[in-house]
Order: sequence, then C-alpha cells, then structure tokens
Amino acid sequence: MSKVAQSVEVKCSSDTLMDYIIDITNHPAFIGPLKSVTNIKGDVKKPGTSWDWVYSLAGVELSGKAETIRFVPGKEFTYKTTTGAKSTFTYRADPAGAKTKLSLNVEYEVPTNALGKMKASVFEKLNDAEGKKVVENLKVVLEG
Amino acid sequence: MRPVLPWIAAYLAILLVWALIILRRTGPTLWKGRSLVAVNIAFVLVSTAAVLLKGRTLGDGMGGVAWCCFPPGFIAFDLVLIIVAVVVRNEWLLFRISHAETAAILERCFKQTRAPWVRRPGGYAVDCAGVDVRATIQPTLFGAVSVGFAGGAQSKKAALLRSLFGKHFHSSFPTPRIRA
Repeated sequence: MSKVAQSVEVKCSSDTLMDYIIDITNHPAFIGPLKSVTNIKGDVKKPGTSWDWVYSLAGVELSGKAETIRFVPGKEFTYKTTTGAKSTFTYRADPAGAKTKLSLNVEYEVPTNALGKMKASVFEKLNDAEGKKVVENLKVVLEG
Repeated sequence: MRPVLPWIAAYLAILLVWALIILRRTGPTLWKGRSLVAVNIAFVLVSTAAVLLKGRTLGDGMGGVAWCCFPPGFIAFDLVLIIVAVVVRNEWLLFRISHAETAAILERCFKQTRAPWVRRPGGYAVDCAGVDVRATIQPTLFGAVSVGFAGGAQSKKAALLRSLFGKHFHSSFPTPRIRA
C-alpha cells in the first residue's frame, strides 16, 4: 500500500471543518478530479453508508463506490472505496490554538494494470501533489 | 475560392457532427469556447500541413518545379477560424437546461464553496474571499443559456467555484466512462 499524508492549518473550528467534510456532496468542491458524489444510501456519519462517485482523469471518467468506515464528530472522518483500486481516506481535525490542523491521509493500492509502464514512484508523486491541492482547496473554501 | 470549398465543407461537417453529439445527449452540456479554440487550431494545422504536403505547381514556365502556395481563400478561411476562436474563447454555453435549473445549480455551488451571494439583475454578485465576482445567466438564440463569471481571475475561491459549476454537466467533447 502507498500513502499520501498532507496537512494544513485552517482558520476555523474543528466542528466547522468536520461538518463541512462530512457532507460528502461538498467533496467535488475541493477535490479537483472528483466530478460527482451521488446515490448516498443513508446517513454518511454511520459506518457502512455507501455512495457512488465519479472521477474525471485525462478525459476519461471513472465511476465507483465508497462507504463510511468511521465518523467522530469534530475529529475524524474515514471512508474507503469499495470498487476498483482499494483506498482509504482519513480526514482529521486537531485544534491548534485559534486554528484547526487539518490532516488528510490516504492509503491506496497502486493499480499496476491501469498504469502500464508508468513507475509507481511517479504515480505516488502525482497523488501526493493531488493530496496537497485537496487540503489547500479546503483551506481556501473554509477561510474565505 | 474553389480550392478552399472542400475545406469549408469538411469544417462544417465537423461542426455538424459535434452539434449532433451534444444535442443527442440526455443531460445538459456545458460547451466552453476554448473547445472551439482547440478544434479550430487543430483544423488550421491539419489543413495547412495537407496543403504543404500536396504542393502546387506554379506554371509551365517553372519547368515542372513544384512549389507550395496557399490560395488567398484558404488563408482567409484560416484567419477567420483563428479570429472566431479568439472571440469566443471565454464563452460558456449550456444546452438542454433551463434558466431556472442553471440558477439552482449555481446557488448550490455558491453554498458548497461557502461563497456568500446576492441576486442581481441578470445573475448574482458573489463574495469569493473578499473578491467580488459577477455570475451572469443569459438566454441566447436556439434555447442555449450563456453563463459568465466576471472578476476574480486571481481568486482561488472563484476558480474552485467555476470548476465546481462545470462538473455538473457533460463536457464539450465525448467522455468515456469506465467502472472502477
């Protein structure tokens, strides 16, 4: 499994941050390649609640499913993709004085078939860059 | 003029096929002017390369030496394509969607990017982290809806807003979808 770990400090409370993130219909607003989140079956705060997602990458749309693993109010939201390459996303909010430290951790399997001759390290660097953009976009949305 | 007619016909055929693809879709499509920039530049390059490769003989007096020359009509047509592309490059047109539906999607995007907004004639005034952005919705000919975002060129929040809005629609070009 490969990992992405990014963090940023945001000028808002941890409750505000997690309330925004737990509404997964907001995710296309700060995850660039994520085109849509639909068909949410139940309360996203509850483990096992699933939804459909569509990613747009290099002119191709990739669709799949994901489900909640864990939600701790004001602290953590973890979900995993349940189709295709396995990945787990964890958003954490830790108070940092008047701000909140937002951490994004992603663990994923490198899909060697889809990559072809692309080296795993390049794929990892791309995902690291995307993870950085996600937390920066969250900061832009929440601080503005 | 005659040498350029096949190229005009080919270009119009491309536009017709493109229009049919867009109009036959079941959901709304966001047509961005920059897609026409891509099509027109590609067409200019391909047609220019084709004429260069084919070559031209100027006349018997040249002793059979082949020269490349571009008919004036061909040059004029290519110039028109480039000018049109420049003029429409920032246009956003929505097909198969009403003004009210467009407004509802825009307002949802404002909420999702946490950008306060107020209604104004023809659209909205949006606060993107202290930067004023004007979002407009206008009807056009043939039932399309024109959407514009003025201001906030350097604003990251405005960029996120525009990007999020665009995600609600089919893109200008066909996009294959694969199940993960």
